[in-house]
Amino acid sequence: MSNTMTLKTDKALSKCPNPSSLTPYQGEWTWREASHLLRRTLFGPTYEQISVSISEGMEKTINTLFEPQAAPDLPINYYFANDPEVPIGETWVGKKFTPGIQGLATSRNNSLLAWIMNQVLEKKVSILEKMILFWHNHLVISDIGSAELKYQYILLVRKYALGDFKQFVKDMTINPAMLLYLNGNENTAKAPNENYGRELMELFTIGKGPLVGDGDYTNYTEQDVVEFSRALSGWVVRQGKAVFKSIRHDKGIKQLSHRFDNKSLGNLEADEYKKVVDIIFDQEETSKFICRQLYIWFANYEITEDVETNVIVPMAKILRDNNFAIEPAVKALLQSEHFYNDCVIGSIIKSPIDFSTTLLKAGEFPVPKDDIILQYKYSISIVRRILRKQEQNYFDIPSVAGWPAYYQEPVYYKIWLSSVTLPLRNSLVTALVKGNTKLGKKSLTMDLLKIVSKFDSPEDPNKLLRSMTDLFLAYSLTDEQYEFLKTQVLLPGLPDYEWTVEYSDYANDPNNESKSKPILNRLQEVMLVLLNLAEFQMM
Amino acid sequence: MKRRDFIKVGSILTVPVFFNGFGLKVFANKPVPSINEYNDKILILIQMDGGNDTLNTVIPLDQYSNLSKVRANIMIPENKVLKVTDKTGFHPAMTGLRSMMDESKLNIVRAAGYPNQNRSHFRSTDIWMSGSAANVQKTTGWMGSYFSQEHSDYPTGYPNSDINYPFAITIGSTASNTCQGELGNYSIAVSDATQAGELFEGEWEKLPDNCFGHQLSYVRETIRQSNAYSDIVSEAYNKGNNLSTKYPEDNKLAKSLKDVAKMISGGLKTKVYIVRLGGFDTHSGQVDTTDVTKGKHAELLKTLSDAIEAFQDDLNLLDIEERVVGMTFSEFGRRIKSNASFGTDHGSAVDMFVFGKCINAGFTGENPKISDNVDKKEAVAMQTDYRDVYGSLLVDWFEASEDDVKSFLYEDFKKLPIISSCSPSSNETVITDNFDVIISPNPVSGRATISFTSRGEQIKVSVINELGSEIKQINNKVFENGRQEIIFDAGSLSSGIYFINIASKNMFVSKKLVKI
Repeated sequence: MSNTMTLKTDKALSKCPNPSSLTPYQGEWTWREASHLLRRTLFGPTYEQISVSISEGMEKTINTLFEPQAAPDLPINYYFANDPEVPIGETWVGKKFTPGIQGLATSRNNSLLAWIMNQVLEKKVSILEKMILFWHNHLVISDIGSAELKYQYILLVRKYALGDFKQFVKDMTINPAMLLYLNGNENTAKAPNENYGRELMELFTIGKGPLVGDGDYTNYTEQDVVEFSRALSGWVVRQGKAVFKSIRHDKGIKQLSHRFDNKSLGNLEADEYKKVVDIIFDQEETSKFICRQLYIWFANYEITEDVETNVIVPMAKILRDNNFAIEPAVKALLQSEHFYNDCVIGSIIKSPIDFSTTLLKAGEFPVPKDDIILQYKYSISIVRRILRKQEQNYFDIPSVAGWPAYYQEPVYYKIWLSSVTLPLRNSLVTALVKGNTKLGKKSLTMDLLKIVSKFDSPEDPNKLLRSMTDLFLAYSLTDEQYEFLKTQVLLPGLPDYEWTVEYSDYANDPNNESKSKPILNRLQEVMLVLLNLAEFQMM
Repeated sequence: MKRRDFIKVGSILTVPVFFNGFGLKVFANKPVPSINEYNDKILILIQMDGGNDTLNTVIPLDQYSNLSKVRANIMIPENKVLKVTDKTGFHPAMTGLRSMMDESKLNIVRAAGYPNQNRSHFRSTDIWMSGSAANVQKTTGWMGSYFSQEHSDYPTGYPNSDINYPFAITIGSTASNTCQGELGNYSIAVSDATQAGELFEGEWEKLPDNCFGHQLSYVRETIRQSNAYSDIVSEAYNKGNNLSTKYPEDNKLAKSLKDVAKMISGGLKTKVYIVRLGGFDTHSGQVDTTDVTKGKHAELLKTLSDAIEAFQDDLNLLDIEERVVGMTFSEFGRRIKSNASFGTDHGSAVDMFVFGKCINAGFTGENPKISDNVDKKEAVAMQTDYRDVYGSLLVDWFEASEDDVKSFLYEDFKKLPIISSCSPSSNETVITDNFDVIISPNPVSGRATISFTSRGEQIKVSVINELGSEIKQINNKVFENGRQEIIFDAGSLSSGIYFINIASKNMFVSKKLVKI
């Protein structure tokens, strides 16, 4: 039977066309391309944002995506009355933390998570939040108790999210949260700790190549781990600040392997870590490694030889030519012919954050913006009920390698879906569409009437369904699927005009619940089907 | 025909949440439930989408002349009407339902509806689905409200070791709103591979050969595998059977009902099945302009009537007829006056068909009165509140208490005599116990001795499963007068409850046998 065609094996993927290079995309700029770009760079683009992009074109959209963003207001204490230093409504950043007060640490950590979520849920056309999550997944910290240190870390990530990658790694090397997370603060001349030195190369910069000899990982060797770790010794965290203690620093000569051209490093005291990063960044492989990670994040996990040659290599060159500024390289990818080909569009299985923010933002959930305290509460409820349950939360990453979806061969993004996570996604959809989730006394419901009011001719059931699928799915459905949605879900057994009659009737009297509610119910029916489709798991 | 023997559960994601694999609740610790878990009754709901023209379905012959004045262009000729009584007859396409009337398996509830009829399809469908009054916005379905009486946490903790089957099944790709509860829908969508579900999912063969297509096939497969109910439903479906030869080809409703019969006979304990038939919105072309007995409406009624007849026949042959009752509903009836397009516009009250062996056959209510001066907007007036029909089924079929029905469905509930007392098939039934049957040991793991007293007559001894189907005939012969002993090897039976039926021409005894 023909339906035994196995598409599951990754071998089949090599059949994917991977044409071209980073040649700029010259094709037409339609819903397909615009929504693809925005799905990959925003968390859940709205109908309006996509419409605007279509009228403005690719170049303008990309420029908007990369516009510098103002720093957000500092995170505030939004509920904890027992903080001796910080009244509710004021920021705790830089304020004394008194140990032993039950609930204090939790309140500040909740505030930080809600604060991040506030930015993520902001309906802004900017790539920044997606880059921040990229870097958080790439330069991981996790299991840090102090909200202050995490805040300093995330500020650093914000600062360099599109900036100088090399300087970013230098600053991150002596970031207090990182020093604690990867034991840099315990790395001394007498008792070296190689944890950071190893991950710096293996995961953060140059990447581990195949093991080709005793302790030789192609790009670096065990000897380099030892020697670089010595060079990084001497840093400690004192009162939340990174401090260099010369006495703890290894002042000897560090001899690198042939992988680094047998270079050696003399004592540079507090500046020595910069030299370490410079040496690693002198290797061409470092620029390629980060470009592969960016490619997996924004495009597809399948890096074929074609992709390596025609996409990764030129991207890496752009990165080096721009002194490791991230922006030009990412821009080049996003505006490339390659990025809009069939092998990239729709190929990513949504992460929990993408899945839920699409529901929330494209779903036009009303964010309580006029009430800052309520906004924090809204955001923390998203974190609690969604991200934590689905196991993709900020500052809670399973390992230093990041979430397995971005490195675990051969499954990659597929790892997000299982018999545990699918029911969670399903119940989230039901709760958000049907309004079974409550925030305080308000029930949170996807504002379907608002969504469709923005469509072109929502009273035409055919156009309505096209717009709905356009907004939520990366790929068009088949004609049969549309027919099914219309004749079995939206209008079971009814002719098209009955929709037109009833929708128009509602539109002329929108505040009449006996007219709006039945329309809402039909739309909810359609949404429940649409959002539980396999297609909605993809972007 | 392709993949006919394969039923799909959850071609889209309709998975309930379950934690730790099993339920969080232990039912044994609860007070006597208002929903009887051991009641093995099943309810079939047939939704006729669009609003059925009642007046051309069940035709009031005593109103024929006044009716002819206002709907002459669609009026069924009097001599073509399938007469039931002198005053009432059926549309000629409804031969199947007509013969069920003769077999006392059909009750027609006349002019059901609610006060202040809403003539919007959507709103009125919502009302019928939810069981609410016209002016009340209710988000749960009437069956959902019923299920949530005992299972309010659903879907959290389901399926579990006690309830490993879906409460309800909607044939199709979306779960019916009749079963919508506060937190989840108590019905799951099940679709036949040859029907809409496949179309809806899009054919696998047509997946684009690109990364999207490859990933999509993976996601679909994962969804299918994760559906918590898929095994139990497929298992019952595959184990089940159809015996009727009456199922017509090219009848979508018949196909759906056939699948339902197969699932029931396969032992699925699901309480409610919902099937739909659309197209009743006959504003134009309701009848053929050259032959009013033909046309869109005639085809729909034939589809409905043939499908129900075949289904009932199947239930009878499968010996599960006493466990199943069906009910049709439609969001409204249509206007009395026809329009110039040989059709009818949105109206008010509508007849409901309740069918099965265990019902009081006949009519509940009377023919509508048609005046000689019918207004253009006039429709059939309501005689019976539709919620009285729902409630009567809940009380007399599902053993809900009248007080409960009043509290969660309808304060003014009045029970209608629709259901008749039909002896339950799976409880221990003793009509006349003169055989003095003893089964030992019981429970049994291997061989059991069945002893009984014969009067020197032909006696059939058979094993019946919990659903009432005969699975093995042990003996069927003349037994000598006196005490008899036969050995029955239960070793090959799977664990569970069975019944040993001992029947002679004059006596019948059924004894429970528990296999461990």
